[in-house]
Amino acid sequence: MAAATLVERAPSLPLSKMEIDANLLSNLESEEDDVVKREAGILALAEQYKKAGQAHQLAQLIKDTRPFLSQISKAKAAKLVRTMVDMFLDLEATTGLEVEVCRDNIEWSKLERRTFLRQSLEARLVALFYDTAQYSEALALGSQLLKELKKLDDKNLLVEVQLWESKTYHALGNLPKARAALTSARTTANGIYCPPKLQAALDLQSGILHAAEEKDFKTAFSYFYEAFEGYDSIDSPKALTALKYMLLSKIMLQCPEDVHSIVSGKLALRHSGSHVDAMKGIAAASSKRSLADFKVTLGKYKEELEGDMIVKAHLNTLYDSMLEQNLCRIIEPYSRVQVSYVSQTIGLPQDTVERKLSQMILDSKLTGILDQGAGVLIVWDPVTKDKTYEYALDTIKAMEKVVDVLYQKAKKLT
Amino acid sequence: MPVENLEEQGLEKNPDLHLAQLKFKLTLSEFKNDPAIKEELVQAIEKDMLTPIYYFLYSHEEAIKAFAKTYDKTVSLGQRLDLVFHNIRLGLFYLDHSLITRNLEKAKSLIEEGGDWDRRNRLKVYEGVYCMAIRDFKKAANLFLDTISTFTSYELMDYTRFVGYTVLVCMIALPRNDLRTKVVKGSEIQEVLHSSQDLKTYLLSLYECQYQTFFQKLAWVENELQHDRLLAPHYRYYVREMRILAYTQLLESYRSLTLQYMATAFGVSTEFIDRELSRYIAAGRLHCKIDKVGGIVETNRPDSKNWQYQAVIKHGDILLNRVQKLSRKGDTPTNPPHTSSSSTSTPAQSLGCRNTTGLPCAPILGSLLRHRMFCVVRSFMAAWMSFTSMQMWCIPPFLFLSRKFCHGGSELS
Repeated sequence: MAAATLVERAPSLPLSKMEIDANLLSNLESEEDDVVKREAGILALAEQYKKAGQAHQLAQLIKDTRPFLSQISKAKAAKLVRTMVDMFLDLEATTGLEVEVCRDNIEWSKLERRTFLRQSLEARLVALFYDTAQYSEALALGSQLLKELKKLDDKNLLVEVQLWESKTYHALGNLPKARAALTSARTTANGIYCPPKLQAALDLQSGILHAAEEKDFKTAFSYFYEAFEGYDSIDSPKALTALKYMLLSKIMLQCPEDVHSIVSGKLALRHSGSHVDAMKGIAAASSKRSLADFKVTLGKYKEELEGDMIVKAHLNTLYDSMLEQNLCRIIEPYSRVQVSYVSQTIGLPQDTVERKLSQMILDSKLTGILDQGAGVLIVWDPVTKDKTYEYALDTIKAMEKVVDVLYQKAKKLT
Repeated sequence: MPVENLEEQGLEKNPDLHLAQLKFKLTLSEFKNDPAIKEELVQAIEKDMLTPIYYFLYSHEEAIKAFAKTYDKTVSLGQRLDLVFHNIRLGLFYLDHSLITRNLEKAKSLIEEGGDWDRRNRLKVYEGVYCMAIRDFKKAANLFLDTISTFTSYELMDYTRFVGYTVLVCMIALPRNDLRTKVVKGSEIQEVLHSSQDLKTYLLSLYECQYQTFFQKLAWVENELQHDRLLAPHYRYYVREMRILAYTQLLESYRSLTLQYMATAFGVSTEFIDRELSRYIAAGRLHCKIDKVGGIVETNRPDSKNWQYQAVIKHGDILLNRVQKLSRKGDTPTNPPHTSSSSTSTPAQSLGCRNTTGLPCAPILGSLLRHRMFCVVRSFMAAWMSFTSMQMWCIPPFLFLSRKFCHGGSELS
């Protein structure tokens, strides 16, 4: 039966554990209270697979336990399958099978009319779509799921799906909708007991959204702090992400000194490592306003800084603004300066400097003009436009209309 | 909030403009024998037996007659508007311009009487599509941007296509800062752009001055436009305008730049750039000059102040002529007319020093001198009409104009 097949399919497990399982399962076929023990046994086996990293076997296990699931209550079965699917997806084995496995299980649960399980799995699928950047599918599935969940008023799952929706909209760049989704998630979460993990996730997302659109880094910092404390209390690895974002907001607020104080505080000491060092490096470069240091740090901690989309985006803006500020400061005392001199002073190649200068002129951040023939940049003071001629033209246009009307009236008189 | 399916709120798809697009594609030589398209067309006809046959076989005049009859019998404003929209769609299907304009006018007047916001927005979309078909890209851009958040007209085209059109017309019509705030940072547009990487690259390459990528994407856009029913007659114009826009953008921040730099920036050869620039400079679209010996392109932006001065003179002249005509109308034979049509004056002193391009003013003054000569001749011819004209020589433009109006006013009162 199931026990025999399990024995066949898992030869690599340590034999002692295998024996225990085999014994458990074979002995307790028809006894009622051993259902719990069997359940525990299956979970333990799944854990074993997860630790050994055997994604295929785990997927197979999920399928094999289906006949057993009819023996236990639906809610427990749903929980069991969901836990196993979670474990499978946490493996992140990228076998390419994740979506298939999810869909497979969803189909089965549709057949068996296990609505709760199906919804739970679909929620996990939305998260999976987000991770694999299939945003339109995530949104489509999410909206359909939300309609059902609102009818059933399943608040726990509702909060989860709304949070994923907010993340998807943020990834697509549609910030107003992302904020709306987050607000609805918070409202729903207010009505239930929110586990700290979920609360911390909500705080993290709020912080991200505040930093993104309004560039309100103060509020973002406070949200990140909350999220950090939340994750820290449950010892989640996401605490490090929250800490990184905290430091990032301090850097963007132009207070790199605070970074030092936070990092040496007792909260962050537990998480010291390459990520924190990377942020410290960026803070130092920012306080010295040195672009060269910035680039060096970027090169050294490439993975930590460019791996995270949000950090990358904000650091790009920081780099741009620092570059512009530096260029303005160098050019300020001059009315006519060689581009080669500017590039030498700032320590960047000449083409980059020239392209950046031309873009600044185009965006009217710099009033001047480039002369490539002589290789110079000419700067002049911004002149306020004299509006006299514009007013004159407007007056003439208005008068034309008056004359038109008078003309028609005169025609009527004659 | 969940994605709203606004398709249900759209009007039903007849005539199906998608079919018109397929038919158009078939007429293009390359798709002539494309079996896939033929298959789709036949399937559509078979699936919906009545509607397409009605529009393909019967002439569209009969359809219009049928609509007119229904229109007379309908009472409610909403239904009437729906019928008018049907007519516009029919016009768009056959690209019958007079039908479309007539019905657009009718729809506008009906909306003025009291149309709801849904129909108002729908009319904007229809109007925008028509403007796009007649090359009025600026108006189309404004209309599309207004309606992008409330788009429900799925019978015309689907949402992604609509956003695609919006991006294309906005790129040609909007100035740089508007383009940034409304299109690049527009939330709905960003969402759709995510799924269409080509369009996104096209938009961002122009905005971030990456001209090499821009030219490549422009070639892709040209291909797309040739296959689109509404924009195919305008694709040459569009591509030319976009090229001019790119050149102007590059030249704007330079007073002079080498031909070689320009060629490498666009990823083409110097001969190509030379040819292009010469063509556009001769047509007066680009304000620069090529120094082939030194391999340099110099910009000579016309001073806006001079242009404004010319504009004031021209418009003022026209206005004075009209006032004169008006006064002549109100004149009785005994009342001699006082106004003259001379509009000469000394050029404003400010011309010399507010020159933002740093170019000397001398060459431009020459053209002003000629204009003054012309005005002098005219004033001498008109001098017999009024002996007061001589006094008007030295007064600056707007004071002069205001004095003239006092005269005109006293005569007419």
